[in-house]
Amino acid sequence: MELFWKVAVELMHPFVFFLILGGVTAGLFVGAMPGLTAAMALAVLLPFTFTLPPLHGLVALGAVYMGAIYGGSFAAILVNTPGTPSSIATAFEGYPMAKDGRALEAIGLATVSSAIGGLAGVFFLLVLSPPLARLSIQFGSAEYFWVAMLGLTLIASLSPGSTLKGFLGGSIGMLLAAVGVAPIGGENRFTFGMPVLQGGVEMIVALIGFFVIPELFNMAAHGRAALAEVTIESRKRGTFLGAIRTVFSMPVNLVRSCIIGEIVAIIPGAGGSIANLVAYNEAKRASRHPERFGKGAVEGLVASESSNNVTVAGSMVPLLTLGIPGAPPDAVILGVMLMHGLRPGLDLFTVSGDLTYGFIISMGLAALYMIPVGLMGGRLIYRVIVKTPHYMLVPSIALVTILGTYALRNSLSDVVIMLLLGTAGFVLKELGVDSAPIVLGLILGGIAEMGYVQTILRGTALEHPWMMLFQNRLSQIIIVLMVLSFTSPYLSAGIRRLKNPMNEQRNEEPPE
Amino acid sequence: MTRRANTDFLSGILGLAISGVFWWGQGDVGRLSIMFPHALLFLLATFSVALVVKGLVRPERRSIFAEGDRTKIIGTCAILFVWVVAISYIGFFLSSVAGFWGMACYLASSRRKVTMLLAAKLLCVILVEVTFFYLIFAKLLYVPLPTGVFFN
Amino acid sequence: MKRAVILALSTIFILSAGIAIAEYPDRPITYIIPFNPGGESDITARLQEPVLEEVLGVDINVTHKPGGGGAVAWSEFQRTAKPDGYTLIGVNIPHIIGQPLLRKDTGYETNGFDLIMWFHFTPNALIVRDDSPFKTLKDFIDYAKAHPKVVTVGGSGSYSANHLETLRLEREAGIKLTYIPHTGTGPLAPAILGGHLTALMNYSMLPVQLGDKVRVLAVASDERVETLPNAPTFKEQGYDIVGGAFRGVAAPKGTPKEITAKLADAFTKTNKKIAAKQVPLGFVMTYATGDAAQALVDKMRKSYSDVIDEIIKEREKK
Repeated sequence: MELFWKVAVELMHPFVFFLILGGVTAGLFVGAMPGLTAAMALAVLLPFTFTLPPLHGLVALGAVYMGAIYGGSFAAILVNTPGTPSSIATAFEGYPMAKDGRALEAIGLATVSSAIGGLAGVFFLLVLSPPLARLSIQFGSAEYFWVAMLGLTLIASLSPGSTLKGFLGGSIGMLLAAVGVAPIGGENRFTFGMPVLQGGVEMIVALIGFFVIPELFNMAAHGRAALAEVTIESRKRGTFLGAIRTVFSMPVNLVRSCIIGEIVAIIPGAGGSIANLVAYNEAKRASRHPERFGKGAVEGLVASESSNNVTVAGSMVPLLTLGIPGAPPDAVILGVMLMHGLRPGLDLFTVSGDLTYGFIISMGLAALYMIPVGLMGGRLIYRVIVKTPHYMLVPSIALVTILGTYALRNSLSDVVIMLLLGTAGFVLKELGVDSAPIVLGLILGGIAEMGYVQTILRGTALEHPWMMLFQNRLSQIIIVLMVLSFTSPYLSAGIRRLKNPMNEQRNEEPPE
Repeated sequence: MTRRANTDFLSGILGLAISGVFWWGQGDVGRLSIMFPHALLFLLATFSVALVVKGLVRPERRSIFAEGDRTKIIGTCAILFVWVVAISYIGFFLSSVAGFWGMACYLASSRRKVTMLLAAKLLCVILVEVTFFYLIFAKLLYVPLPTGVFFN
Repeated sequence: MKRAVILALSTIFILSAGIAIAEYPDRPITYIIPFNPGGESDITARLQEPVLEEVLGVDINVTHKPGGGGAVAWSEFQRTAKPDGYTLIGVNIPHIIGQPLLRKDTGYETNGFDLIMWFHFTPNALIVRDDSPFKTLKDFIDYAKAHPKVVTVGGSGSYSANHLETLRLEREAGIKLTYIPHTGTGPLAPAILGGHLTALMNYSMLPVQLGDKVRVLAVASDERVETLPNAPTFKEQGYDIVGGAFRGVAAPKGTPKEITAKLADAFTKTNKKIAAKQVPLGFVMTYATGDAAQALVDKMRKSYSDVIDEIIKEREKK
């Protein structure tokens, strides 16, 4: 306990205070720009941390990470393009809200949800590390495959209108993920003779392509930006107190989203990008008014933004206890730790205790500092965007996305790919094939393939190798969840119809 | 002019076309590398065929490409491609200024007449903005932006 | 008169070329890392950066160009980099050997670089969980002989150092294992700790990181690794298996010899300085420059050739 106070005092030091504040602000800025991700921000920060003592270096990284995951919501809400893949679902609700003149409300909600999520993640890390770490290593190749399949069932709920088209999009996404070097077998697939395609389609490139470019085309076609002016009522709901009121009015959603965020976080390699979609989907399933989703349902926004910030500290559970990065940015943090001679494991919490606890608690502080920074910054960004005429806004966004896409891998070809995918995405959207299933397929395709082929290989000695997929208890649990998730929209629609035989075709149409 | 199109049918055909292209480009690879993609191509083809069938049997006609000024979309798309390709020839800074300016004038022309004064004003703002981002990325973040084959 | 002009011009030309070389370097040097930030190649470069800047007197810009296990960067480098000493790229064995042989359209050639130096070596190591029934390499091999293909060995990448070493072990010991590739070293830790694999064939850094939770049955180096004093080598136990990943740096082909010599010297000095930080992490420093660098590539290619030929033969069968 006295360790706690010792650490707390150290963190209140003015330099540290400004370090966290600065880190959160920088992270916010990075996260808000489509094309720049949390992992990139940390990579850029890496050399600067060498000049700082270990605690300060880690604190800076943690603050930037926390800020970046939160910052992605700004781009998602204001321009319908997730600033980071962790805010994909935020765009589904945030942007319609912005179009309705509720942009500030959305920003306020995103801010509070992110802060709460961040704190929850820190809580889980502090209190539940040991059992969570044990759970995290239970995930083997078969479990990864089934988690990917579970993720893919989200496609059904992400395609209002035509589930068939949704799955079409999802398969296209998965095929795009297969471009490049085969993860198993090491040969080049779908590279059409071009060495540059060996690098495959990077997820962020596709994300920007499929979400930003069609939006730019829409703005060009309409001759104006889509944001409407904010109403007084909505402005009130977007204040700190207003947002707190709204967020705490849905405790079940909040708690569930945080738990989902934590579970996804501890799965090594899976982070905010998957957490936000799963939490969003669950919020939709549990909602009494699922038809509101997609038009500005507050529950969806809260679910998405709280779960993704849980993953910041949450994914460090396997990192600090076992040295296994729980999400991509953690690899950079692991590198820094090793460089300073900090070995993950029990020692970290005892011998280097003050360093470790200092780092963990600093992330909690970062989550709190996000609130004033975000609310003020959000208001500022909103005002800038609303005042900018569309003929300056569209090329500005184009500039930022070109820069961001290029900066990812220092590759101009990535920018070209981004444009091509964007144009294709626009055409597909017009035909009714939405972008979200495609991007989801891309994210999960690689995981599904790895999991599948690895499991089959592991089962080589069995008579029927594919049986390996069903062997573990954890796999079986995930399969059950998957079936439930997939069938529940149909089940609940069916149950509703049984209850109200007269009001059959009134409001709810079962997904087609 | 709006079009009502059978989007089920069209998306199905597009899906089949995509699977065809990918099938052709699969490369001469071993079993392990290709087993999963084959499964994916099979799925894509199946969904595409299902959509084509649905398009013939129970078509859902939607108006596509209906919203707004469609020529602006084509124009913006073209400017974007030229912009990006130009980067490899004349470097990031010049192509971005040119591309940005071109796009801004092009888009502004839909609402109002673009006078020389307006164009000049825009150019000034654009120069500042591009310089700002260039400095952040190239100098602060050390991202090696292309300087263009022409200048090397 | 004409002869005088020609003489004068050629003297000026030679002198200026000489001056250019003598003044090298006079601008920042770009150091491309073909992998993601945070990885071993990146950390090495970051450690080298300040020392190199001191020795050479110019800024070193470390940039990343990940993709295709390095192939994207290497192909672009061989295609576009100018041989003036201001663009360098990190290189890795066995990647630059294996990829062009085993993949189509990689876009570059093994011998298409002017190698400057190989700075360190991370030997392969056969690792099992601490509660594994295999206490020695012999236990492992005996079991594998009795149960072909049952033993699962995880490693990073396909036809990478880990994979090729596993194939070599199979050949030398006359056993049949099942190699399971993973994307990088990261996923290997949970896989072994969670009991999803029997063993790992990975680099010597991983057991240093995981400590007591794992046991190293053998290391593929000539002598025992400092940081793993209790880990016997394959050689000690009767198997001539030496291999792992080598990391180095290269310049475009055709770079003037004076420049590569200067760089080799700078990197050697750097290597000595950073050894203090790298050795505790499990790296084995090497100092192969110039001709020795090329010789190393040839030697490794030869030692893997039998394994690689077999792979190619297997492929043709299908």
